[in-house]
Amino acid sequence: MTVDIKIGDKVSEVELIERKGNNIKLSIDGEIFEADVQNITPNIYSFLYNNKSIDVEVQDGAKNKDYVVNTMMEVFETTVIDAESKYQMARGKGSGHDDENIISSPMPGKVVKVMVHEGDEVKSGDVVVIVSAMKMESEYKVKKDRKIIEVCVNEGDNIDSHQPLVIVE
Amino acid sequence: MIKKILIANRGEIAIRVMHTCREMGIKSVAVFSEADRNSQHVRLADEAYFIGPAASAESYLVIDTIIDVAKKSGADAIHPGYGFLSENATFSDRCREEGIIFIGPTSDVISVMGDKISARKKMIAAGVQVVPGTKENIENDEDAIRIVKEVGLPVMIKASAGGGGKGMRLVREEKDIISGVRAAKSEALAGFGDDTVYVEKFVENPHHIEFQVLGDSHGNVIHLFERECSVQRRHQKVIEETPSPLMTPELRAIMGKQAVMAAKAVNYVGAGTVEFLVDDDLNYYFLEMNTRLQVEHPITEQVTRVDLVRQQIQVAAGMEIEYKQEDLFQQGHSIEARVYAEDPCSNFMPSPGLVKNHQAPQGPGIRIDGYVYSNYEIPIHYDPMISKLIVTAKNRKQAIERMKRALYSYKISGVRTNIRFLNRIMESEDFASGKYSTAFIDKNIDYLIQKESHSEEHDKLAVMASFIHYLNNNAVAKKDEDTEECNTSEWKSFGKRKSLMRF
Repeated sequence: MTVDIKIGDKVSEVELIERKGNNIKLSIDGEIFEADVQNITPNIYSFLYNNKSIDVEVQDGAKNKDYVVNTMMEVFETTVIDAESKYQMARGKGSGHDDENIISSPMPGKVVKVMVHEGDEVKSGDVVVIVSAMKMESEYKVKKDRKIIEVCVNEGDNIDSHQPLVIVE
Repeated sequence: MIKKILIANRGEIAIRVMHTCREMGIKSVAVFSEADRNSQHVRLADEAYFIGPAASAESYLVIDTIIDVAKKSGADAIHPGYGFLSENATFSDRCREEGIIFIGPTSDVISVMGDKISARKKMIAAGVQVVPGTKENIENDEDAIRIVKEVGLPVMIKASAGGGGKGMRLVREEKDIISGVRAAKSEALAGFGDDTVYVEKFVENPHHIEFQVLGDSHGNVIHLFERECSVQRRHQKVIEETPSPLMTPELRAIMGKQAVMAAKAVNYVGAGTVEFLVDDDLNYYFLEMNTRLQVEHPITEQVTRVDLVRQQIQVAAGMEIEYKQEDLFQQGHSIEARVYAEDPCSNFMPSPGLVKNHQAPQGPGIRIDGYVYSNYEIPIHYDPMISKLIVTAKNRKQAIERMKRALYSYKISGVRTNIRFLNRIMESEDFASGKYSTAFIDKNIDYLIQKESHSEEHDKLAVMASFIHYLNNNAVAKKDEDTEECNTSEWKSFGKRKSLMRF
């Protein structure tokens, strides 16, 4: 099985060569890696890689096949692009809103103020929503001149991370 | 003696107080808002009462509700923790009127020490060294210029009723005096409804050093040495340590004496903190007194072995402090790191939410005052501090090594934390050498938040782990489909249970 794995801007081709019990052998961009990987809890893996012991935690990310990987003190965000997602990407082009048009908060919080209405024309840098979390307020702005298509939240609403707040054209 | 204490707080400090209550055989009563039913402080208390909506103004800060719960539960005392009602004079008075012991100072003390001009006057009268400046309000422009020139530039114009950096203006040049005073006055009026401002000499890059004091109702006051709190970001402390690397035995003796004089001047009963600014030439100036248990109190407890909460409870009950000044000394070195749910790499944006995995460090010399556990959802309504990691070792060097080791094995996932940022502080030259002031974080910010230049190996490891997890997720999904049709084997149901554990 072969998939692409994106980490930051870099995409690597990963192929499973062999999996026997906890021993896994795979190739990353043609280079062979072997490790003894124990699943400690559903999300924590104990790696023995060249006899070095490293714990790695993998949590599911915001979207299906997105992962948040914690090793030592570092955090990586990765995406697995398999045959299914390639197919969907090819089909899905042009439909729905892409991420650029959705203004959302990376953190959960409470909507303090909605500064715009449907149909408003806003200028680059205008604040559209103010969200408060843990006694701190954050302003969400548009990066370019935009038209507001939909306001999805009301003042006082509690919101989840990555929930659409405002959709712009 | 006190038999039952209501803790009018939440999170780690409520738990900290409960620990001592349990040791003393005192029942603890927790209060909780709508957002806090699952909070650890509720689970560790003997009793818990619901007090209203998530917003603290409608729950933790409502005096009538807290008093009602105290009566209903039969609590004979209230411990306010820090923040919330801990320095509220009305609350202190109300407790007394209702016949409930308030484990904190009287309203008189809170009022005198809460107002900066009155605190200054009181301290000057008591012989405590304050920042050079004036005690009186600036009434007009002529006053402003005359007073500022007397004190000498640069100066800080401060609102008497102010706090938290509001209503403060730094003036470095003569031409900015009048505009500075006007700006401070209007900010003070808008922020506190009182435009009284005064002038203080501005101390360049000061060290923030505070002294822990304890007083009882028999007139005894002692100090428990200093805490160095200069690692701050926007007046928010991040790292504290004791002893202070700046301190000399002579200076410690003098400042300790001054702290005791400050507390005696207001007949202080309970635990309090006297804050000083100290410059590089070791000139020290009284800044303010905090009339509560401080967030950073554990480092003092670690090096003196005094349980400050126990002393608070005992003196509130009318007993004498258990220690004499000459009994106390500092043994070893202790450092506290405040773990915040925030992302230092995105401008310290708060990061509440579901904690997926929480694994605290263990081993020698570690103390954790926290309240978060795996699968706990950190509410959006309160402070982003999730725990305090306190390490104690033989000396400063070993304490820093121990802190790095503890941070390495502190795993919190699901929310972003400042753990790596804390580790960077430990690794910075300025911190390691002990030569740092309140300018530390600003000066070192690029180093502190810089992305790790991680090895290729780590990249590969992350790719491998993602791939394995992806394969396992697929296998689990397939197994779930299979179980619909097949006779389930023990192993399959084990696998399914295991996968469900995630929720």
